Amino acid sequence: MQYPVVAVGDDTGLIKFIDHNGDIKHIGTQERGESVKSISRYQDKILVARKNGKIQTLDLEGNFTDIQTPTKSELVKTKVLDELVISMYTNKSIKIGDEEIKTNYNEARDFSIFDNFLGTCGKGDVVGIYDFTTKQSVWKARPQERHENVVDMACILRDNKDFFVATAHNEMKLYDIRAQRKAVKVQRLNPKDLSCDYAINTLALSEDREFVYAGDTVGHIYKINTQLTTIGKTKGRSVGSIRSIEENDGMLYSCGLDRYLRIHNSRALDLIEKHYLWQKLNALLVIPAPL
Amino acid sequence: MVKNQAPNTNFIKSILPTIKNKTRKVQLMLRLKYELKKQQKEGREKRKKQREKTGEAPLAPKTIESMRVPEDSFVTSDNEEVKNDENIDEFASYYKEGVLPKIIVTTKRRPSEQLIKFAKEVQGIMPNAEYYDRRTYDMKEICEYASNREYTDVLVFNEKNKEPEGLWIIHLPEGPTAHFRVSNTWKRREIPNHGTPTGYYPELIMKNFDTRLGQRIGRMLASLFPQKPEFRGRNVVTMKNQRDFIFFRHHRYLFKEDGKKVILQEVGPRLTLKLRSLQSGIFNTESGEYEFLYQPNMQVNRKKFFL
Repeated sequence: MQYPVVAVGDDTGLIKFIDHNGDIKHIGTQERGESVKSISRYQDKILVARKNGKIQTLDLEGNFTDIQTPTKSELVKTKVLDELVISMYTNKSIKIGDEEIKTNYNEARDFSIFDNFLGTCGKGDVVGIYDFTTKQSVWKARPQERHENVVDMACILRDNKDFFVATAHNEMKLYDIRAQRKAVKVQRLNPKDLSCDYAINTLALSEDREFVYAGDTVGHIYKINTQLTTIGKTKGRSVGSIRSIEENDGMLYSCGLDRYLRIHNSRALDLIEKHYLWQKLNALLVIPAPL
Repeated sequence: MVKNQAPNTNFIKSILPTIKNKTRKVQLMLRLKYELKKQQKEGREKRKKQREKTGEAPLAPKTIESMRVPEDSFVTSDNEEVKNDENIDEFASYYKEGVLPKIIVTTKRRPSEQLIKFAKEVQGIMPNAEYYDRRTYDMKEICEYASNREYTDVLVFNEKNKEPEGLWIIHLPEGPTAHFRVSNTWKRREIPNHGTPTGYYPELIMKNFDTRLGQRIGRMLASLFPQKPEFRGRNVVTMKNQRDFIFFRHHRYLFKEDGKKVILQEVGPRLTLKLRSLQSGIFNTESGEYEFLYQPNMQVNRKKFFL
């Protein structure tokens, strides 16, 4: 395989490796409930987290090794920080290795890690920041007004100050977690009169952490700077919800429910190539060089 | 130019820009059109005679469908990945285990009398379907109610100017949710010599659902009916996709002259559906994720279809 290789996890449980030439290699079996939720690098392997709570490692020979058996509650997302596996579940809990943090979300949506901080968002409670070491809440956003009642869909911690939150009303919020509980800035990505208030459900940081990429539920990707100004937007008539975005070496990789893996130029967001992969795609990981 | 002499079309084309008399110009234009048509007809006849001599098969007519832009998602019969997915998807139990669908048919809030009648006619086609008054309930409340009572689908009809305009099909408990535009509706009494529904499980004919999205929509629509047809009832429900429009028809067939001849009697109702959106979960307007959403700027090329 020629690098970079993109590993994509689909809704039926398959992992697909697509190399530079467009050759596709399938690993795994298709089973109900085994939907892949996250793929990340873990030591010299790939960590695969599934909807039923099962977490596995995948080596280069294509062998899966279980490191966690299926759980009662569904898994929302998994990330790896310094070989520590952090998983968010629908039963209001976040597992950090063997320890657990309890949240108040009725429907957990997303979490983000930076340094010692863990930012969370979901339905039923405001966004918050937890400390890794003490497992205590260190910051919480100001409660919403009754008439607002907006669901926070995704969040990302840029540094120990800027906390970006995307909402179901096509808004981006920027919190300064060192200063105040109220959002510093709230910005709609589409003008209000266009009635394109589709929810933003995926956020990703650029490699230099200077830009945020936001994917919405109808397939648009926006490039936003740290002042929440929209710098660019994808031009294609894509129609499936974006589930995962990653930037690598000037290329922006994205996948979603329309079953396409799309590769854009990250500067101007021009479409370079796309691959149809037959299943709904949930997660992707770019592997720039052999593990 | 002398009358009754076959004019050269190239000659007419060359002199047309130089003629300034409007009447004369129109005459020449008409003459040119006539001559070109004549040439075409002669060419056709010539080719036909040649084919008869050589025994060649006639060329297939060019239609928008035959000139369709190839889609990446066109499913071939040897695609094992799609077959495996269909064995485990939300509709697998209806096809593999023969689970019977149980459907709620309802309307928008404050429906007109015409819409209620139409919804009841649609309910009459589907075995195991019940009509419920919408009253003031939210769609989310209806879905929750239906899920708790093991209903498998909720059908909600919308209207515009007292004509059915939209149809939501919500598959329970996990989705997907499809929204169709409804057009060209004929109620049963509007169809000449219509039959009456017998209540037997109908046979299903699904046609031209070729892409990945089309197959998913086809499976969703077919799962509204039991997958064990009762041939005794001689009922057929046809859903045919043509240029992304799904034509829904309900017929009875009758055997005549000791089974040598078959005639069709339409039972109705008749409707045409066009897919507007497909959401992956159950109905959620706030944060629902779309698998497909029709946008007018998608239809730039007339030869591109999605189903």
